[in-house]
Amino acid sequence: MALIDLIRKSDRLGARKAGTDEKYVICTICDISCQLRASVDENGKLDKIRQHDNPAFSKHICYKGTAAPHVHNHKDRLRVPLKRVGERGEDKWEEISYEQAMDEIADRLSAVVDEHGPEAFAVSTSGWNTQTTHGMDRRFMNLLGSPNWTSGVALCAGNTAAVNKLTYGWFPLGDFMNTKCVVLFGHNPRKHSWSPIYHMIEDARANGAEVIVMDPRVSEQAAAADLHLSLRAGTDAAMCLGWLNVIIEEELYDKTFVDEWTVGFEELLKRVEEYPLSRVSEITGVEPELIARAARMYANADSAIIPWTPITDMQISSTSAIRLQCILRALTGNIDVVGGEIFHGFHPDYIPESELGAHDNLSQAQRDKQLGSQDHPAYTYRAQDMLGDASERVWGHRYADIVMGCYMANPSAMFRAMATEDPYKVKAFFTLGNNTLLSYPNQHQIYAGLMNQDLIVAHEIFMTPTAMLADYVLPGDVFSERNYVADTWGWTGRLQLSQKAVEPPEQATSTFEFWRDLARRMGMTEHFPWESLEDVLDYRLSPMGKTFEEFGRDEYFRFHDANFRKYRRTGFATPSGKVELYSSVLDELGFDPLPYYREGPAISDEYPYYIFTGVREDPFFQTGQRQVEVLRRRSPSPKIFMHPTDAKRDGLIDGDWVDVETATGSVAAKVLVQETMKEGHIRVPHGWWYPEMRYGDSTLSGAFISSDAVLCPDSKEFLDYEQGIPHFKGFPGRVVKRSAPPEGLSQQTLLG
Amino acid sequence: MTVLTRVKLTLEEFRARTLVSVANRSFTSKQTPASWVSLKLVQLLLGKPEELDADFDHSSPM
Repeated sequence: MALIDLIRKSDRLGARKAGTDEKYVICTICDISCQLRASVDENGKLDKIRQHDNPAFSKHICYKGTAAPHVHNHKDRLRVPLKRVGERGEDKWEEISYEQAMDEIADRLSAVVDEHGPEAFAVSTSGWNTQTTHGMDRRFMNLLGSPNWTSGVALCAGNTAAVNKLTYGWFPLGDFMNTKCVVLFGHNPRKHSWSPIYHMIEDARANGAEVIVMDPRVSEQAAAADLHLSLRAGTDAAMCLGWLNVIIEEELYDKTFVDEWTVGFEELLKRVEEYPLSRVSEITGVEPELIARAARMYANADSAIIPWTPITDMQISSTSAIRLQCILRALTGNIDVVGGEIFHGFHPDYIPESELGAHDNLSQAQRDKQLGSQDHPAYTYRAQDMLGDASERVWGHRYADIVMGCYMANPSAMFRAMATEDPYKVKAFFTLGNNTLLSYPNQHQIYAGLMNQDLIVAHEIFMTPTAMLADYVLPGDVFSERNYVADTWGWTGRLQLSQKAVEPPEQATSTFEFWRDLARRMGMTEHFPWESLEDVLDYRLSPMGKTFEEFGRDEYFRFHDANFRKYRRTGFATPSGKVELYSSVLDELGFDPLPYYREGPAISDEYPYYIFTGVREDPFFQTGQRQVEVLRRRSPSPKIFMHPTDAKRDGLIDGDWVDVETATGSVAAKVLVQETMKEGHIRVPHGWWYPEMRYGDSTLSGAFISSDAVLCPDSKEFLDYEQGIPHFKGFPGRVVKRSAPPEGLSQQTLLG
Repeated sequence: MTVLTRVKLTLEEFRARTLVSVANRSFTSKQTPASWVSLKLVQLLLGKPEELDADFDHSSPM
């Protein structure tokens, strides 16, 4: 076929752009930021969400995205501010105006700050959900003087960004389009979960890339992999050390890069020698030959990527495992090269939230009070400030708050302080787009902390168990109701347009408006001059020389120009200017500067299984969407996975109700027996509660029936040293058959 | 690094830069000859956006 025929044929493929009645939107049902198209019905309601018209993005959609109208138009959406009238958690409210709510919140927050100091104010938020904060939360807190901001990204991607920075000064993104090898550490992107990553892996396979998967169970990705290493949960750091052993011993590493651009190779060599394959095999349960084969496949590939994974975010050797992934990338020369890991840097056409956050306004004395920074400093100001000069030199910004994860308080330390008032009182807590009670380890401690507050404010789109504990609940907006330009907090080198398609309901607001209006009531007007979201967007787009309106009129997506091996001009954004195999920051903070493997708490006769939690199910994102019928009916009840041998020994079959128990709590769920599970392991889904159980009697919609947040303790023996991250991937527990399902569950839950 | 490897890497980088440049030009709402050609190139390389299957249809039985 002649070229002209191909072009003519392609001209008929798909629409050119979103139609006049359609808008480009960024879906925030989950955190992966698919750009889609939204259309509105004759009544002004969101009607349909459709896939992108540009073939570069058209596969990036899942059934959560197409369900957005069911979410955005849901009858239970919060529409007006609520003020608590019953006891805390009693779920009794009066409707008040937005102005009244904000006036009272400002007065009560001022009272807490006056009595206990600004550090007595803490925030937990999930920027992926709220999107339009534009760094105003950090700006407000830094001007007020509170360092106690945390987020779900403390356990997921944000902490990875911070640890990557310790090693080479940035959080790179894999070049799926050009790579020849993809290594997945337990990560299991699927068609309806992290859809773009799934499709990019599929495309990489089609381009000849080999895929290596490390996962205890035969996940969908593992089943399709060229090599699958079924390691014991939580032993990823040991596996990486085994790979390094092979790569160094067989001289498969990039000697030129190591000589010119790394520090600490000799020290690393000695550490790696402590992990011969026989020892790594004993730890991980994987045959030495298979470990060696995988290491060779990775190191010998023309190019290779180790994409971000939540698995190494959440284990007792998290810092070492993440650093070891960085080190593997560096030793094999896959840093900032085609098909490797790209260091995008901040998008030059957009002012980053790292600037808008006004971090310089927080005094050293208040930084020193950041909760968790003394025991677990890796992603707090204490460690990240040590990279400030280097970051300014390389990236042009002193604060590189990539994925919002680099200047956080430690959540366990924060909730402990809220509950116990040690090391000081925390008496005001705001939660935005974040069902805090179910989102971090040690749910009972979080509950105690929330019950010990003088003021709790929730900003949400639905009533959640956490919001039920609040004094004020403010209705939030959703992605179809606001304008936005996303830069994925510096990670992916892209700008994406999201256009307002419909008006938010009644008194719903964006988180930007919430923080601005609170700031203005507390004497910070000059620092919050923007009258609208569009004003902020115009300001942030000023380096491009376009307003938001102009950007939206001209384009909908802009990649950062592709430049490679930028470190040759600037060096790396670390104190040495090189990739720090031996971390000078960790050394100065008194931690082991070299990566290591640490064994998690052991199983026993009493608790014979390795439990892993924090696992997503396709219809839901984190604790959300259980009230959305079209999604809930795809997964009506929580289900644990267990191997047939384990099920048989425990006398369990599919559909049995069980309690998964640890020393700190239990999760009621149904059994799903699966050949694909690894023996001795139990997989527990994340974030279950029952919105339909709303009785106004302090049961918090079943928040303590099936929530995995009760299972993993956050005492020292369960926490990663450097970050204070809990060991969600392989802690000891048991499975006990229930004589009956928990009381109060709906027929849908019982039958599904 | 051998001369051959260096040449190969340079070519790969050129190809990757070109791809990003072409893709960026296709991401425009405002039609220009360059953006039209870029979109056609992207469509030629990646093909027609597939129709969503029944799995996406919430009115279908699960």
